[in-house]
Amino acid sequence: MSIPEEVAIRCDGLRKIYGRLEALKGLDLTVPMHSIFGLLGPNGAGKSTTIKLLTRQIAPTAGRAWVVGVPISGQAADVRSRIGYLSEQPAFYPWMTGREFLDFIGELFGLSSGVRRQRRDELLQLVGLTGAARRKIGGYSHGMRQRLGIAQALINQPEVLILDEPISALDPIGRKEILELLAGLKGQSTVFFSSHILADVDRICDEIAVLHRGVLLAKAPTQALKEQYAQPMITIELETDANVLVSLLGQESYVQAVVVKGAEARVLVTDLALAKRCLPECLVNAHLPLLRYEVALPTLEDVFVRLIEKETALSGETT
Amino acid sequence: MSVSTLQPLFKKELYEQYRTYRFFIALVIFLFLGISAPVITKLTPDLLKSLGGGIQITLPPQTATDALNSYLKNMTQLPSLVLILLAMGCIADERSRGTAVTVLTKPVPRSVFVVAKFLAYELTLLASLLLAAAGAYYYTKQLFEALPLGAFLLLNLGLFIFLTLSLAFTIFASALFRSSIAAGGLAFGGFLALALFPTLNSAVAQALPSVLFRAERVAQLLAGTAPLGDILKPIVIGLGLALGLIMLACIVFGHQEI
Repeated sequence: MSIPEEVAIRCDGLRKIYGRLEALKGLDLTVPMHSIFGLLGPNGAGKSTTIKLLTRQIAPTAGRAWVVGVPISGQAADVRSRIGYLSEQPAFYPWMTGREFLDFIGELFGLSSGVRRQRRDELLQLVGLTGAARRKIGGYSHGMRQRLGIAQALINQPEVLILDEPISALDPIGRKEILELLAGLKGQSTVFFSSHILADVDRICDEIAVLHRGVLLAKAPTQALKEQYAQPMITIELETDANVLVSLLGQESYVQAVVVKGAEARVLVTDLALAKRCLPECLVNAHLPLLRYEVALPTLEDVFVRLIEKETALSGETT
Repeated sequence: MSVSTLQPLFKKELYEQYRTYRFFIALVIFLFLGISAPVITKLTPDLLKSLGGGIQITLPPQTATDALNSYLKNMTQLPSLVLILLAMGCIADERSRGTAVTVLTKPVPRSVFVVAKFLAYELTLLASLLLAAAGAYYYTKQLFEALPLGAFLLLNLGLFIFLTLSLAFTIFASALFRSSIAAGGLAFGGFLALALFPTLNSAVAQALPSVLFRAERVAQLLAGTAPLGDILKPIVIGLGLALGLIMLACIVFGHQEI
């Protein structure tokens, strides 16, 4: 079976069963070439299992997958020479220095000594480890190890970079730097990464997929998902108790629900355009002491929560 | 098998043994065992006399052959345990710590990963054994007389194969388990089996390298009267078993999920 060149990763009915646990239940997924693709899901969703299958750490129970057109279960053309990978908790040899480690990884990819030296120095600079390059990895902090992990994943200039929770363990500044680094790879490599930090995924991903209990709930460009799933919402803050808004707005045709917490109310609307036109007038006519009126922009978190809630409700209905 | 990844992995293993002092630990213990055999053989009558507390103990004069038998006894016991302790975590620890994932998600065949470790420990074993043999030979010559060099080298070849078998079993055990303690336990069981089987069955005894270190076979070797077939057979079988265990380790590890 030939996979089109514009496809970086393709999974067809990929399944993985561990004993009695079905970690991945027939995943069908296509990741476009040169995209930054986020794989989202709560703990136990099947994100790491998917990544382990794609990097050949484990074998699928059923189904097939291709990375850069190469089948993951094939022996003839090894996909590992064309990908870069960083595990969730990257492990290194503590007795090696950062320089030695990158040199060793470069050797495993068959890079010549000149190319290795050049790539090693470039990457150490890119991840901000030039100053610590001659120190033993055993003395590196968690953040430094994560940066070294990203450097080793990039040493072969991979066509597809697969990263399992690459930013979860980093501090805010480290996260920002690594996200910028990943965003900078756009157009050169396909970046496929899993995360549960939704704001970070929202920031750099072109496309996302949401996994839950081994099932793909949604897959689409980030903006399209937000438009499809995020509930439009208007936040209103009054000087007095906001419970009055429940009776005032509850009967309006464009209002789905009013959630009150003290002086603040969140008004979930079905038609944002209509709500924007009618709601301010309602508030003015009721002579309410208004402190804040804000149309909330949909976030990936809203999408995620709605998708998970929807799936949980559906699975509850069927059981 | 990809030679291009064997070389960096082999080099990494050697560096690891050097930086974690495993190489030096093996050298020092083997050298001590090699030197101590002729020295203790020489001192045994005096030691017994001083410990005897007035009891008259008469011993036949100690010879170079006694020193050699003592050396062979030393080298078939503690060195196997040293190798088990040094190598039991070589694959199991890489799996439990996650470094195996880092390496094996690169274009590295799993068999090369196993073979590189085996070859690196073989080199450590060879260097340590050469040092022990040189020490034993030199002190035996100084304290008694020079041993026939050909027979001594042949016995050391037998020792090398015997210890290679222990090492191969340890690496196989390490490929089998994620815990180095479990791997060490199985390897120790293998070591005991290698020691016990020859006492239970004479056909097995004749086939294993340990038969070369029996006093009567040593005497034959020193006299140059040992049949060539009886010497070659345990060496070839020992080598075959070791290679078989390494192949088995490659197959087992190749089917495991890291």
